[in-house]
Amino acid sequence: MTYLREYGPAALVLVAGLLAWEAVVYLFSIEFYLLPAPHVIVQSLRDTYPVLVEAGLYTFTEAVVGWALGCGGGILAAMAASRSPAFAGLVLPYAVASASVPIIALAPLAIVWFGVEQGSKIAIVVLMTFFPTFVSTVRGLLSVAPQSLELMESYAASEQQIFLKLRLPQSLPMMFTALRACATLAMIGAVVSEFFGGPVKSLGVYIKSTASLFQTRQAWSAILVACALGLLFYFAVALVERLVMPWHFERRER
Amino acid sequence: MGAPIIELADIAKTFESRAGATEALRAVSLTVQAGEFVSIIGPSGCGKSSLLRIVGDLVEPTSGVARVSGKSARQARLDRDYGIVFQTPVLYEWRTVLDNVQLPLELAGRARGEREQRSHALLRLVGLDEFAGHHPWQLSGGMQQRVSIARALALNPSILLMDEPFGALDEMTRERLNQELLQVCAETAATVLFVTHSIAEAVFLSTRIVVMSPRPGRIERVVTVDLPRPRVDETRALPRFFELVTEVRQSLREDPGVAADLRPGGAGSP
Amino acid sequence: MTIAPRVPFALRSLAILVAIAAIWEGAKALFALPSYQLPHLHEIALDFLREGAGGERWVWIMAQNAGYTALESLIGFALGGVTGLVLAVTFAQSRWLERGLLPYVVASQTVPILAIAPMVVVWLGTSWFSKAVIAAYLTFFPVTVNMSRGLRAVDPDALALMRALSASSRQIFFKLRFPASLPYLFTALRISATASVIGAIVGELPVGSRFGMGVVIVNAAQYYNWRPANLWAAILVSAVIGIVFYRAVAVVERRVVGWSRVVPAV
Repeated sequence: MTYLREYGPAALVLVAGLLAWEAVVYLFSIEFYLLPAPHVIVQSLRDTYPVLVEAGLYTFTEAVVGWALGCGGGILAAMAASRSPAFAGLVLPYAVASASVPIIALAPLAIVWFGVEQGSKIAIVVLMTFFPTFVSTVRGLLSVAPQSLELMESYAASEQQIFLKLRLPQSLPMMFTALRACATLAMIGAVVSEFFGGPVKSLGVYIKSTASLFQTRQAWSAILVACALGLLFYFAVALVERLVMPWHFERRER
Repeated sequence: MGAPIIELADIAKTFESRAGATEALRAVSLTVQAGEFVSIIGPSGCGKSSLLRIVGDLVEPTSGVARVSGKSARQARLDRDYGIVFQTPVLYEWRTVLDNVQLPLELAGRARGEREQRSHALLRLVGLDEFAGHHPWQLSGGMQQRVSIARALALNPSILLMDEPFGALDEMTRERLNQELLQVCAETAATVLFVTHSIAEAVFLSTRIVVMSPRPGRIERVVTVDLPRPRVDETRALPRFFELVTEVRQSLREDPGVAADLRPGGAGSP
Repeated sequence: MTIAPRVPFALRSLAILVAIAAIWEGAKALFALPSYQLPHLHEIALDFLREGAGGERWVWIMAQNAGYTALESLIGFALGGVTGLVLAVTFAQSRWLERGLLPYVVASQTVPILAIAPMVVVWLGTSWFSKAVIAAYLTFFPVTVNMSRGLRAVDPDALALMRALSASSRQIFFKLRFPASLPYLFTALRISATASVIGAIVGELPVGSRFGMGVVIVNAAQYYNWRPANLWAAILVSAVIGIVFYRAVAVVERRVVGWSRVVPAV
């Protein structure tokens, strides 16, 4: 019964939204090239399925590889930085500042350096995911409660023991929050950097070109695919998070 | 009467901060024999927590010498001669209750089989063995503190340092845990240094009570508690119990800082 | 966690810039990178002084386009911020609406919203408006989500106190819920500051736009082989816009919610 109460309104909104969309398109006779009705999009999805799957996988690969490299690098760098809090304190403000730079503007440069294929997009995704992961993980590793540290000191624990048994497990929640956020950033980064240039068989180029040619139903179906892949990635990371930290998930309030 | 297990000679501690220097402790000297239960009581800011941490080598004294188990405080810590219990349980939420108790054994490099056996035994001692597989947040505050006490005993230390361990608990749970603590101490023959705010608790638990003055903390008085052992519920009803509580309260009130506000009518303090 | 050395931020920044310059030129020399891949720093600087097709110096052309992008971002930021606020307050009043719409607002943060940018340009034309709308779209999601969280996360004891004082709903909102949720609002605004700049730039990418840093970047990329320094210069200017925006919000944040413990290191 509580399921209905929790998810009922959302489901209702979804159905209502889709119906309203169809109704608006019909009632106002909106041109197909401006706003296609949902059923038209679904049709287009079915028709162009193979093309979308190929493009989707191409772009998704960029996102996943870039995410893995960027986040992995961020975590390793954070571990190294946490050994020297002075160094971490020095670098951290600049890492945080990098969040204010539109990294996507570097996409054309990436193409110059790494060519127009996947390499350049992966490079952009790495840049986008490295810093947030680094910042979150460093914060998690260094923000240990003083009493927890005192406890470890009272047991004469070595720095390594403190790191492995206290800092690392403690930082996992913050680390995973960053990993989840980066999953979404990765997909966005991959698609948008393809706006700057890429092979035809990528989602970004497909969306941009079909939109400019007013082939909006195809553009929308491609956008839908991009959204679906983004959500998939996010939930996959959330699933891993749940498996790695079962205690945390049970504890979190809704 | 062997060599004292804790010796504090002329301990002083001043904390430096951007706002200036704060003198927390001044000329504190104390000797504790093995097997004693010594409570430290005093108003807020009198440095009792700092004193405890100096014994545990978690804070360095500005001057003075602290000797524990015949060694320097640092060596005693490195040799893991004591167990510490804080006001909050400080349990790791990613570990089960059993794993939390095992932590000191892991750090000391004990083998897995030995660790688990010992941890179960400790949990039985505090009556929580059936919760071994639970996570800390599934337990009440009182239960979490008992786990934290079990953990403190893991390496069979000769000394227990306790910093207001029952401060966050309600009166009834506190009295029950007082009893349990005494039983545990009787079985392990540990020496206890116990910081508290509660006069009744101090009188019930201790062999001696160290009353501290307000900042800068000095030892105002040491009250010897001559109540019969083992202490039981009925001990709280003894006339001698009330006398001792009053004695401690007077000592605390004699300090100019504490007395004036609390006395009804405010006749002014000497 | 203020473990940074006591050296002032300005001095440290200068030192870092010098270090970056040294690494840049060092790498160029060490790996013998041609200007095509990594131009000299002074080449990039000189690009600003170069004259463009219309006879104006590039520094002026960049400034104009930067201003254009900045304006689009600012309008979008303001629009999105207000929308997000209104939505969050509405959600706070109606649990039903919240349960119905918030999941989508949250879910949409996990999708590549920017993928829709070309569609938006199709709908709204290639003027500044479509860019501002994209920027607004990117802004209102984090604001809605964070503000909703902030308005809900009020200390129950504080609420009880207000009720004991017979405060009206309106008073409770303005004197308790709203001030208490400001730290959350500003956390979102900092994210949105950058997001709106990105949105404006991405909105300028589809064919047909004539002004803005996105256009400059695309053109510079086209003519890269002739003038590599131009692209680097354009990217630098875009970065500066982002940083200025972010810091502006951070400064306002410190003024308004300096009392909050939620204020982060930077």
